[in-house]
Amino acid sequence: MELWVVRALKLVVVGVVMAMAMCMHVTPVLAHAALVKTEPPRRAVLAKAPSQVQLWFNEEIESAYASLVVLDTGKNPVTEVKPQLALDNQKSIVLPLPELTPGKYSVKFRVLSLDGHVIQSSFDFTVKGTLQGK
Amino acid sequence: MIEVIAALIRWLALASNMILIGGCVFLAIAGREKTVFDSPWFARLTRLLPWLTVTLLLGLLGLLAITTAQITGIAESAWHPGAWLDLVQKTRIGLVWKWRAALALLLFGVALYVRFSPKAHWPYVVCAIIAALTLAVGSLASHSAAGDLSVISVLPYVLHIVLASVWAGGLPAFLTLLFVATEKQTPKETYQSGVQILKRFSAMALPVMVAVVATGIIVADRMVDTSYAALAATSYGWFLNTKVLLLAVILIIAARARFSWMPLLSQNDDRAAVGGRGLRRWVTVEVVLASALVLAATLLANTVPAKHTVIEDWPYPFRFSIDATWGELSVMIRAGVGVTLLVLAGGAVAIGRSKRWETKWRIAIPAGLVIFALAIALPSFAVQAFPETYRKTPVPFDAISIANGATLFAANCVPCHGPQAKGNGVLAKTFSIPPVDLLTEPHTAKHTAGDFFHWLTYGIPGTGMPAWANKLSEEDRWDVLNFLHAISRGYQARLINPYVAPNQPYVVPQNFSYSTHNGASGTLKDFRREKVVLLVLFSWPESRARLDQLRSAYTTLSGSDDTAVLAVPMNDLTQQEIATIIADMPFPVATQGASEIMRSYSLFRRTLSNPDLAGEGTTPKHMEFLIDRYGFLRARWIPAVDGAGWTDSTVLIQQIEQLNREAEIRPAPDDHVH
Repeated sequence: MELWVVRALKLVVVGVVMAMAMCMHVTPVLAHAALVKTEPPRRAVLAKAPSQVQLWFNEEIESAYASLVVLDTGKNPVTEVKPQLALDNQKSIVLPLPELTPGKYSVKFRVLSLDGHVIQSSFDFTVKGTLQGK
Repeated sequence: MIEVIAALIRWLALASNMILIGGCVFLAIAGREKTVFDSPWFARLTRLLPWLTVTLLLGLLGLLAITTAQITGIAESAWHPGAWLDLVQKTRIGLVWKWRAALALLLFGVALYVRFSPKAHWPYVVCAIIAALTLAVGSLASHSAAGDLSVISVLPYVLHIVLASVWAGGLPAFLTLLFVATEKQTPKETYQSGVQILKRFSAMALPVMVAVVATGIIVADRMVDTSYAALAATSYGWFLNTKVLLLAVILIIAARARFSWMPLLSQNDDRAAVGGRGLRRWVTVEVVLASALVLAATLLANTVPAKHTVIEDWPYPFRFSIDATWGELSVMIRAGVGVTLLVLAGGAVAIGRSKRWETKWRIAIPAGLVIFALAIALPSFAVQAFPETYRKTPVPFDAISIANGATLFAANCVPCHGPQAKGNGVLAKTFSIPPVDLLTEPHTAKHTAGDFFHWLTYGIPGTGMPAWANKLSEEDRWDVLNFLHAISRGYQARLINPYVAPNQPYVVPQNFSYSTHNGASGTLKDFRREKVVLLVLFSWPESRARLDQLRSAYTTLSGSDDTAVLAVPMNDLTQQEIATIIADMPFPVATQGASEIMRSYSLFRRTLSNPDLAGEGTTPKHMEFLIDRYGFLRARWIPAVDGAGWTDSTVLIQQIEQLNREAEIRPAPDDHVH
């Protein structure tokens, strides 16, 4: 076998071994974006109406393609305002709410993760009182 | 339809990019001998390079249109350049696309230069490098780049696709030269020069393939994780299986080409002709299979990875589970026999090689032993499965779900299963097969969450268990399942006491959400990797003295801000009572979510000395829990059972210090039951 071929082979083998060694000894975080927390909590029964809905994801999301709507029992959106990225957190979006009357509400969201995957789901919460909480 | 078009466009872009890489590498290898520059085949391949880059650019444009439609959820946006621009300007995948397109344009320029400039070796190398960069940049928007973008996460994937391109992308060029060099009328010099180039490429392809397989295993391992069932029941699994199968066939052909036909080319004319024929026929097949493999890889790259896939409909009536079967003597014996036979099969391979058995025996004997081993061992690991067996619960294992599950259980299940799910309800003895004990027996560990969901949904034939699909919503059924897991975990946690067992985290408590008297809100999970949590479930006024004690000791307890204390009332409080409790309270008192926390954490009331199995059970008036920084329940103090315990704040502080000394031992608990 020619010398340059041998050298090329050595380079490939060394490169792959190094890459494998690096990969085998580190457990990287590999995941699709997932909803990790909501405020108000999913299915919560609240004594005070929330002033906003905030969703937290496990990775950064594309704010320009984030959709978040809160629907009342008649399936009507309670606000036309668009959600914004949280000021201090690129993994979180916030939707300010008007004062909500007692009742059941559905939160529907559709977001795009940085790796180009769309995540969409929904959850409910119930308001027992009217006084807005924080 | 849009999915099919998307797959074809992605395939087109990927295949053209791979051929550009492999073709340029092949031509660079060939170009080391300057005489080939004048060969018609070399010129023909060089002329193709600009066209391939045009194909790549068109593929990238199509990819942008399709991605825009998929991301916006509006099919028409595929035809709106404005929507494309938005995507390019406002997203990371748009940025990645921009880089790919820029590199592809640069590649087009280089390909034109290669096409029209005086022939030299280095432009092909430059062309191959730019093509590889174009492909590698695409991995920044791949499954591998999801989560934390880092060299570690992306490197194996980049190596995998670039090296695969060197091999698979070089095959069309290899085939072109093969047909030119091994035809009957080929001049002797062209033949010899061509064979030399083919041998060089073949010699390089072997280690490249080894590297492709190695990196492929790493990438597949990351994408599958432990979701092996998904390999036999999801699109991702079938695409991956197809890819592996195609690769296996290709490797067999490649090995035959490398070690059987290629050496014949250097022998006498007759044998060289046989070698040439074999190579032409089978490398053609290899190219077709490689195209199919690239298509499978394209589909794979755009399918939700196995570890994130939900198997909605498990197609088999059984599954294999070591957890659910291990422990029975017959299972262990059959597993032992199976392993022994597998070892014998390995031995047969070695002996067959050293003793030079006939090929048929070298294959038949080990294969027979492997089949025999699997036939003996596997059935013993098989357990009944249902379409829902691998379904993942959409409802998190949290206090709200468990509390709702407890309410539903109390309303619907108690007559048969008993108030504590011990299988001792008043109707239990009326059934020929009585309900199982879901409290003390580890059923939730032996069966999947999906199994329980199936039984809750459709009932269990031959027993008194009815179907609940028409009475409870799907979400409610998952809540009941979460409750069953919680009571089982509560029983398993009876070993926990006021003293932390060092380095032994095993009880996973449910997450909960709360709002406090001072307007703060959060979840238990928020404290992970931050603070040890002292969760105080108190009754008023019975716990007044203890709360005063905690108030006094708070400064010492919270230490260097590494411990959080959260008090949760176990009974309904009036505004006046709340005002009394929170007066001068240095730590938060939960006002929202308290009921669910109390109802779900009271399931951790069982201790070794007081398992509380009689009747409906009794919830203590006061309980305290220590939850470590990694989300595990590590210690519990129930004054009514454990005596003085943490009334001595020194004892409590010792437990907190122990937890603060510990490093992470187990992965963070999952939010869902399995």
